[in-house]
Amino acid sequence: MQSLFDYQAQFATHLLRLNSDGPLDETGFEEFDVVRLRAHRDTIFRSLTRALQSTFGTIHRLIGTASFEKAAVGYIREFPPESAILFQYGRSFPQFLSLALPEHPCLQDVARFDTLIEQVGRQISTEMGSRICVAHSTRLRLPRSLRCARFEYAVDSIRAATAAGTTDLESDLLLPSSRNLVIWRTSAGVAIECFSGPTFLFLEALTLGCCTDEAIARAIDTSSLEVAVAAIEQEVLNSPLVAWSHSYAQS
Amino acid sequence: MYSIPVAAGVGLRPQHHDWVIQHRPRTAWFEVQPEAFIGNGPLRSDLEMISRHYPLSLHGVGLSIGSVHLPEHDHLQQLRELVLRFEPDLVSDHLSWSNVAGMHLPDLLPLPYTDEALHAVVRNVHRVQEVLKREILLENPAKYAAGPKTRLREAEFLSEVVLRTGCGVLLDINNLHERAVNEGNCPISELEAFLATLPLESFGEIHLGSSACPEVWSLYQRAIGRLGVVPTLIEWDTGIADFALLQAEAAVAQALMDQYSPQGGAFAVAV
Repeated sequence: MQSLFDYQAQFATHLLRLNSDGPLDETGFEEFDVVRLRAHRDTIFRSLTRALQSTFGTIHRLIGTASFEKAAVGYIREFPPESAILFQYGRSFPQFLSLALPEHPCLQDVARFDTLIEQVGRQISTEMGSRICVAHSTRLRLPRSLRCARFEYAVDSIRAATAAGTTDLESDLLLPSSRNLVIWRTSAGVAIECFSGPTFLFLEALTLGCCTDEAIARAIDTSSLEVAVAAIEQEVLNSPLVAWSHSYAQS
Repeated sequence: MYSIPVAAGVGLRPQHHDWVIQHRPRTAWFEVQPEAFIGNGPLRSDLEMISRHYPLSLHGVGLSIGSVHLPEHDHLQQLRELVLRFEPDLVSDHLSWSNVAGMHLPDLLPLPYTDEALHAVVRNVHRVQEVLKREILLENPAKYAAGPKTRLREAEFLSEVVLRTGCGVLLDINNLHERAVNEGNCPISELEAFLATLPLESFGEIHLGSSACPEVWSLYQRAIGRLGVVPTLIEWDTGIADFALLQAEAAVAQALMDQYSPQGGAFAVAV
C-alpha cells in the first residue's frame, strides 16, 4: 500500500482531472470505482463553482451560466483552494478571466470590483477612523472599511445594469471608461462613490496613512493646485463618506 | 451559553437565519457549520442573535482530521476564536480528509483505514483538542468511493481513535447506511459492529438526514434502543428544505426519543 501522502495527493489530483461525463478509464486510479469517485468530484466542483458565483455574481450574469461554469472548471483545476474558508476562494479569478476570455477585456475589472464589494461587505465595522487634520481647525474622519480602486471600465454601472438584467456582452457599457471608485461599509450595506482624479488621489493617500500635505501633493499630480483643491472641496464636502468636525481651538 | 439538551435539534443554514431570528421557533438546539462564520460578515451577527436564544453545536467540515498534514494553523485558530466566543456545547468534524499538498478540496474524502492513517488521525485529533481545550466528536463519513482494502474496519479504526484521544463519536445514521449499501454490506450488521466495537459512552450525538428513508429511521430506533437517548440532529445536506419540514422531522425524532427517555423527553427552550 502506498504512503498516506501519495494516496491523498494522487486522489486529489485525479479528482481535479476527472470530467463529469468523460470515459471511465481516464483517472488511472484503478482501486476506485470511477462512478463513485465522480460523486466526490461533482461535490467539489459544485461547491467551488457556487463559491465563485457567489463572489463574482456580475461576471456570472454577464457571461451566462454555461460560460461561467466552463471558466470556473478551468480555474478550479489550475488554482484549487488552499483553505476551507470558501468565501475567500477566487482571489486570482479576475486575472484568470483576462487570460481565459481575452475577447472581453472588461471582465478582469468587473471581477476585481466584485471581489472588492465582497470583501468590504464582509466587514462588520461601520466605524469611522481617527480624525485627520485637513486644515486649520478642521478635521475629517473616514470609514475604517474604506477602499479605493481605479478601473478602466465603468464597473459600478455594469454591476448595476447586470443586476437589473439590462445589459449583455454587446452593450456599450462595456467599452473603456475609467472610474475612480471609493467603497465602504455602511449599516445598510456597501456604499460606492465615484470621484474625480484629484479627489480620488487625495482620499487614497489618506487611507494609506499619508499626512494631508502629502495627500494634497499626490492630488496635484495630474492637475493644478487650484483645480485639485476645488474638486476636493466640492466632492468631499458633499460626500456622505466623511464625518467632519470643526474645532476653533488652535491645534 | 446554553447546554445542548438530550433532544432533537435542527441543522441551521444561512437561508433560514432571517426566519429563525424573526419567528424564534420552538427548536431544542441548532447546529451550524463554523466555516460559514469564520471571519467577519453579516452571517456572524446573525449567529450572535441566534445564540442568545438557542443552544449551539459547531459541526465543521474543514479540519481535515484524516489528512497526512496537521490541521491548518489559521483555520484552527479561527475555529478556536468561534468556540471561545459562542461556547458551544458540542464541537465536531468528520473522519475524513480534504487537505493535501496545499490543496483544500471541499468534500469529505475517504480515508484508508491503515495504521499510518490511524497515526495521522490520532495526532490531528490531539492537536485540535489541545488548541480548542476540549474534546471533539468525530463523525463517520458516507464514503462513496470505497478505496483500498485495509486491516481495520471503520468501527475498529474509530474505536482506536476514541481510545487513544478521548474524543467522542457523532454517529451519522445516513452515512452508516449509505456506506454499508455502497460496500454491499448489511446496514444493520454495520450498526451492530459500531455498537459492539465502540464504547457506548463515546456516542455524543446522532445525525439523521432530512427526508431519511424508513430503513434509516429503523436503524435510528435500534441505535437509541441500545445507546439510550443522545442529542439527535436533523441535518440538511442538499437542496433547500423548508424549515417547517426540518422541524416536523425533528418532532418525529423527538417522539422516538421520548419512547426511550426516562424523563419523557422534556426539553427546555430558552425564549
